[in-house]
Amino acid sequence: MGLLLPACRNGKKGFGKITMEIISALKESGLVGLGGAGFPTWQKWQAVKNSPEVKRFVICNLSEGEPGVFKDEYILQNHLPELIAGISLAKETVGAQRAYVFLNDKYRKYLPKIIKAVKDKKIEVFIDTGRYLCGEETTLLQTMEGKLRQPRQKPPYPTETGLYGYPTLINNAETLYRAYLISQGETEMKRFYSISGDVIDHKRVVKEKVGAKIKEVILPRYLDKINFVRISGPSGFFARHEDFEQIVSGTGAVEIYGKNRRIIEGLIDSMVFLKNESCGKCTPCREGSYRITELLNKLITTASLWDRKEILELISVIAKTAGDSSFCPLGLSIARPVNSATENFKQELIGE
Amino acid sequence: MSKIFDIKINVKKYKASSSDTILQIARKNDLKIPTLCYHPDLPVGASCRLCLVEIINEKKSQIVTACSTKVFEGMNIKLDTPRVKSARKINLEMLLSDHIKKCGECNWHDNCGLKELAREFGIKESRFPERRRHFKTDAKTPSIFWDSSKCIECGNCVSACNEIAGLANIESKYRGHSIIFGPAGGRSFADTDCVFCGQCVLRCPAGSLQEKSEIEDVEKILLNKKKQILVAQFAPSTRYSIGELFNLPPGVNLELKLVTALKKLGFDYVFDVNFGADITTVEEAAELIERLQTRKDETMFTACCPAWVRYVETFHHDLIPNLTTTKSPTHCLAPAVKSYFAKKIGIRPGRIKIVEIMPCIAKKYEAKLPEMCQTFNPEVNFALTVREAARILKNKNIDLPKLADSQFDSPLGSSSGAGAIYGSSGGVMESALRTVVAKLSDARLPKLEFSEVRGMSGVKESSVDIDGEKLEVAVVSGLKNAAKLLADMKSGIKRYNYVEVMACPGGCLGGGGQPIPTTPEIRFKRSAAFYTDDQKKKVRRAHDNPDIIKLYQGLDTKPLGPLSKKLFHRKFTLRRPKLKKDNNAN
Repeated sequence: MGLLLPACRNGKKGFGKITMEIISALKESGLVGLGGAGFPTWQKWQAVKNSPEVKRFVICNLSEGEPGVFKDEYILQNHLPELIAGISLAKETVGAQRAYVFLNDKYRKYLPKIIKAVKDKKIEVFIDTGRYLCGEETTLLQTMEGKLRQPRQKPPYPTETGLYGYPTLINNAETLYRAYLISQGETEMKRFYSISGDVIDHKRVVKEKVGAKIKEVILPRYLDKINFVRISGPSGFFARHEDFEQIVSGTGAVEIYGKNRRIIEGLIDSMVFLKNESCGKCTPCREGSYRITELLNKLITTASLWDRKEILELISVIAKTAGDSSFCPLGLSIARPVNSATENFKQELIGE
Repeated sequence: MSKIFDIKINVKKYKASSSDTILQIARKNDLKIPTLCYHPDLPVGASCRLCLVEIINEKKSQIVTACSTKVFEGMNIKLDTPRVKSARKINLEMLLSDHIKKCGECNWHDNCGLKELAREFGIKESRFPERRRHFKTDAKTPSIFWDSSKCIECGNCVSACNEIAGLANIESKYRGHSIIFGPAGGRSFADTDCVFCGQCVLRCPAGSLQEKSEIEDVEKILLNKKKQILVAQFAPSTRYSIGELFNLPPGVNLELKLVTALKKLGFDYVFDVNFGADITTVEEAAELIERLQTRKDETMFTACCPAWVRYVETFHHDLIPNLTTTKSPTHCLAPAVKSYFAKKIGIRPGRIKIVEIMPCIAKKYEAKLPEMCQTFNPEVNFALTVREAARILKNKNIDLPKLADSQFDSPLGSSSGAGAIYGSSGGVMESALRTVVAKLSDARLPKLEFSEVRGMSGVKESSVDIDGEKLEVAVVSGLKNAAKLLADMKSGIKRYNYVEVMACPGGCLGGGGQPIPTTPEIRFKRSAAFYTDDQKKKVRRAHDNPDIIKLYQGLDTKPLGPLSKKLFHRKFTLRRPKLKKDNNAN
């Protein structure tokens, strides 16, 4: 609460800093999108700002559809004023007339709080039950425009042709929150990590430096009890102790699997999720997610070692195809859970 | 921004500009990239993921779809790397198992893009079990047969209906791996406001949407003739495109060989729908002249396109009185056959069975309309598309291009140049204008060619001068373009005396029953052939056709006379839209 600075209260000319300075500050900070894609934030802001179109929009992506990720909810609970300030900052900087908060229907309970916070700020809330794919920015636009919930081709990018065809800045909620902090002089580059799963007492959000390693975001007393973890949800990868030097990338989610859990469970969980969330537009994702799930179920019931090896081979080939040729990030991400499992957990998968 | 630069494909250099896609450059230079969902008439969907190519750059090579990726200067593309070939093969295998194989009994096997790619890739069996256990079929309309088990969810049908017809009769249902594409509502085209233009059928790569087959019916009557007299008649467009199904380029006139082929099949007489077109011209010109005198401020629209007529009957009730009452060429020829010709050879009309071969699937619907069964029930017994006719010939091992020539039968087999150009957008208009101008103008050499209404453009306008008076005309093809023109006319921006409307792009030569593929390039080539033949004809105007003159004498009537009204004119039906929301998708 006490983080609201005088600058915010003045409304239109609130921020005082020249907008170019904000964009340089973002560039210097190295802030990238924290919704999973990791695109340099200053570039997006710059692109919309420099557009020849007069009409522009800002959208705060609060879709948070990836299982195991709840950092944006944490911001809603604890840092809502700064988030709203971040949205307003973006609006001012890129010259947008209107901003939207794209809110996942599962966070409907925060609606009264949000409505109160955006009063008189030309920020509207758009609630949608649209499911996972709506977190992908072009599908989000399709949803807001009432069209078929399938992604659009990029290019053109939303910064050029976005909502209703106008240049639109779409940023993850935490990205906008961090942008505000940077505009207020914050120099430490930290981010929120969502830690959940077995073994720990309760799920929690941890604030650590950007680019922290897996072992740096989990409390030491839990490390021994962990079998393996899933980083960044079903579209992310699996890692075991030897890999805990790896950086927690993507959405910053760490899901813990305890000693009594098997890798095949984690992999099936990831693939079933991706299969259920596929929009059905393109062949490798629609068919590939279906076939991989089908084959994984076959793997469990197949006794012969040779057959199991063959099934894993085929799964890998399909995953590679999806990872090479899918239309949108959902399909392209199919390769990650499969590859990380087949590369790091081969013995367990074949032996099980 | 059309600066020309170099790109590299498989090491060789090619010229390109920043608005070109990889696929466009490849096709321009005869480089092969497999495609399935891509169609030059539709916005790029990029859903099948078969046209994959690899872009090499210093950091990491990238796999992209050629249809959707625009080139940049110095782009280095490889077409058939192992990575790309593997991905294409897996995607195709997965598509094959998304599709229940009924190739043995399927009528799409001459047209099936999926089957052709499987053959090219050398895939006989897929490693995956067929996953579609529940599927729907729809044979409730006279024109379309839908089988969802064959659908590979490319989305071309939705795109064609939205972008070409400007309607929304096809949609996707469910999502993810359960997604299917079919008639809005999910059950039947009979529940939608489909007008049967067939542009969706023309772009289906897997045979989920096909014309409703009459091949078996026609083969049956040929086998079992008994005392029937079998007559075949084919459209202006048919002769220029049927060769494409026998490996000839578009625009080769095979009319005289087709006559031979039909006789070989067992038809007793072969007449020319171009003659029927002359009848239509003569009647329609007379009607236009009459309306210019009695209903000067109203626009007259053509009505030979059954899809366009159904569209007006459904969505523009107020324009029904503006349609010409003249029937389409094939439905002017058929009653002439069953009355004038039947009398000449002394048989009763009931014994005559007429089979028409059309570039159109709406003709199947038209032939069954009550309005087209008033003179004889029915006038036309069976309607085949050009694709179906080629299949029937192939079933009997008839190699069309290798046959000798035979003439059409008299007296309903000759045509003027005006009748010959009907199949190209602007042909009906020009045909009518030739007669109208000749009748109204006092000039010694009335204008013969009206080049302003020719060509592949969606909308064409012309101001025709008849001895000082101006006749404002327009020609539109593609139902979406027609909807826009109607909107412009209703809001007062545009005013015309006479408008030709064809639902299919380019006119009938781009019809739903034509050979696949039908692309802008192919339509253009087909179109040129009509006008070349028109120029070679001795008689260029419909009313100068001596056989037409004899017909009217023999029937003892004249255009718009009582018997002409009975044989060559029709009424319309008011239809109510079935889909609740506004079906005009723009």
